[in-house]
Amino acid sequence: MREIFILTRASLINNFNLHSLNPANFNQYRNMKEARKVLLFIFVVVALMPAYVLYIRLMRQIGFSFLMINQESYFMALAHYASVMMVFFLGLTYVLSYYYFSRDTDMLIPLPVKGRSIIISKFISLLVFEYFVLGIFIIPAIIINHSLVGGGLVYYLKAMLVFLLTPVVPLSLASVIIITIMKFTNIKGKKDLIRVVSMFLFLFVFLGLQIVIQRAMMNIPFGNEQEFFSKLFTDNRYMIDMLGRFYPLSKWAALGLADNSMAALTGLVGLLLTSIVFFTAVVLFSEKMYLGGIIGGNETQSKKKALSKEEFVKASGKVSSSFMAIFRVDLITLIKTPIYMFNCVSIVVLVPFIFLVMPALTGVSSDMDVFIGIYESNVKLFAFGLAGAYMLFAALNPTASTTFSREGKTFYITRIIPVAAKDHIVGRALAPVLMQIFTIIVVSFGIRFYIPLDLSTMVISAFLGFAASLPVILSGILIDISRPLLDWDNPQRAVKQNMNVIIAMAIGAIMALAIGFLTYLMININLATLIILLIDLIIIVALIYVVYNLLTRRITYQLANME
Amino acid sequence: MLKIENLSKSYSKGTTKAVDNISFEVKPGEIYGFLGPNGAGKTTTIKMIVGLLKQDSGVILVDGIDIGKDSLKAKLKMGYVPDNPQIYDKLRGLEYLNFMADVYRVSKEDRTQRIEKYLKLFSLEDAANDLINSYSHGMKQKIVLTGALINDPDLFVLDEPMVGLDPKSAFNIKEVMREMCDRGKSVFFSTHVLEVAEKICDRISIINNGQIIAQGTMTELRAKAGREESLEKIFLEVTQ
Ligand SMILES: Nc1ncnc2c1ncn2[C@@H]1O[C@H](COP(=O)(O)OP(=O)(O)OP(=O)(O)O)[C@@H](O)[C@H]1O
Ligand SMILES: [Mg+2]
Repeated sequence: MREIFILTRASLINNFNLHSLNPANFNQYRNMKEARKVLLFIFVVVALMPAYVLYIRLMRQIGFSFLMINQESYFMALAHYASVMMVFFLGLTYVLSYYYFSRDTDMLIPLPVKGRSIIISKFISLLVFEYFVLGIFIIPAIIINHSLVGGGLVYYLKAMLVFLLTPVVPLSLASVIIITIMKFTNIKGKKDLIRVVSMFLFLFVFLGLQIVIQRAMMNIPFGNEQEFFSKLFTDNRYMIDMLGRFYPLSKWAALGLADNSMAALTGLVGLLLTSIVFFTAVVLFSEKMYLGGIIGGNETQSKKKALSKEEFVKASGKVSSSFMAIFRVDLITLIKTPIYMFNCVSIVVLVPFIFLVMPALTGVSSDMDVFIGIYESNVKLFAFGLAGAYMLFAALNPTASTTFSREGKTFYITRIIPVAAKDHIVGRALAPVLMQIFTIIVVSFGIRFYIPLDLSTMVISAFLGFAASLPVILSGILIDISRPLLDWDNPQRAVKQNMNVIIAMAIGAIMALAIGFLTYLMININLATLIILLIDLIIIVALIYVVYNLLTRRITYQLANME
Repeated sequence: MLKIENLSKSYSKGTTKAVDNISFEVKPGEIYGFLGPNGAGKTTTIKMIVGLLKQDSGVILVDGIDIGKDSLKAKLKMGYVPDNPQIYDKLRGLEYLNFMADVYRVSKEDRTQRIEKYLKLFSLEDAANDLINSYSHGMKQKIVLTGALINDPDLFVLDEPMVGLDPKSAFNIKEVMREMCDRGKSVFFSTHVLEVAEKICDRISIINNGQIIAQGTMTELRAKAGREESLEKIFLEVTQ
């Protein structure tokens, strides 16, 4: 017990940088820095506030529409289920990096501590991290649900229990899946590649399964609509029961919070027992599979074979310019580091997948009719709206805003090489720019399956969206060079626990909002499309110019002056 | 080739003076040894020379170029081997060397010839096409060395280069240094290994608590000590 406590504490301190929060570590100089950090934090919160308010309002809307159809208990079940999904997906990458790519494991294994303690402490650390993220999303739902189902202090006590238990099962599942994948892909040779491919395969299969489940759940047999609606009104647990058939825990959580009946109690007890069973199972499972899997798991293929003269001349490459050399190293590292691949590149694959393939599979064609309606009644707005969406995709991608942070301890190389700021910028912008081009192409063509976009809309949105992504990408790099996160021993820190990602997102969102608002005004006063496009482009070029120059100065300064 | 004038640097807002007003000069064709106990300020000085730290005051000239003013030009003339060889794990050895050759703008013929020469010298030919991730500590150090030599630098700066190398590789480094000096280039390195310094350095500085407390050729140092003594004795005497 003590052992688990010590290990957990150490890993929490190590991972969340808690030492910096200790007042004993403050002094005059640091206070300045801390104050700046706090200001920055406030800025990010304020910038992201509109989105959060929107989220809460949407949740309320959904909550009240369930109330209207007499299915208010379904609201909490749905919110719970969505949270579980989120924890699960986040969990996959956290487990991957924290169990396998964090150096503290190598340090722990030689210590005289029980393997079980290591596993439990790791699991708890991840749970704590999930609570932070989960809190942001589920606490509004809990409060809204309170306004739907009522209840006094007891409600919040129960809600607390539900909150604490929510991530246990999905995180256990994520652990088991990752450990299994890692165990069976611990193959000599192209291990990283095999792993990345199998994770993607798993994700696709999982998403596909989700789709099938949702379809089955929501499938109302043709001609039976009448019956469905009458059921809705007579049986206020009709929808929650449907969900409960696939994921009973969400049903239990929602029922547990709905009232103080016997059903509520059984629900909570069920939730508690299941969580305990899963937790125990994952500990036993990891003891068998995990520790065995990481010892010696770092082996990398090495052929130890000299190249022949021709091979050698060929491998010693052709001469390329500095920015190409930087781009190449950046790209190789992105692709060969599973964590980076997952966090930076996967978005490019998953976003189009979710937006384009999901609707097709789920068959929500009625939603599409709405979009087609919007499109046909306002072609102009649609083109600019799509461009704005591309801009937001660029803001969501952490590749630019972690480009220096990802180098970690090897960042000194960037500082000693004789490379001009211009080459640094181009070399680092290339990877995110290419990803952006890829996303735009896929979405542009994919969207035509649903909405009969005309060519001009496609071209305008793609071109404008691409141009508008450039200042977003450049400001991502600007943020990262201003405050790179280099002192990590787990690549996860560089991309997932990096404030720069969120700051860059906020800045990108502000840019998109500002340009979008202006464009909206121009459309409203009925300016010609070409004129609007021209004005937008002028603004974007000006923005690129400003950010680029700032970036040049910042890079030159930082590379010379950092400590 | 390297001229340091009144260089100072303190950490933690002036509370620790790591380097305190030091001056020295490394001439072309010279191997210059930088000696001192742990925490004396060697790494700090070297980091300032290669541009990883900004000095509080003083001037660093590389072949007459102020590193603070025209850093790109100065960096082009240097090669740097840090005390801890941390490099891009996901690259193959050759990919790393090509990267260095690209950013230092080395022509195709030169890079092929130099890569071949140094890989052979450090017995790395077999590993050159493997991921750096699979290298041992010493192998990483040798690939960093090769990378730092790829532009045939006028000024070769090394921080404790012998630590972690096998005797043959350590010997090879000394050979490389010698050969560079014969071609009029300069080598500046820090070390704890006194015999090495004694044997191969043309001139030596001993630094302690951020200050240079003795400098000159071995003969000059001996003359100062007044006796025919080993460097070890002199070192222990002046740094206590
Ligand atoms: N990043 C840092 N922050 C604060 N103080 C530092 C930092 N790096 C070095 N120092 C301090 O500066 C002084 C000189 O350190 P330096 O690393 O230059 O010594 P060194 O001569 O290279 O020692 P060694 O032989 O152990 O490598 C020491 O007192 C050290 O504590
Ligand atoms: Mg040192």
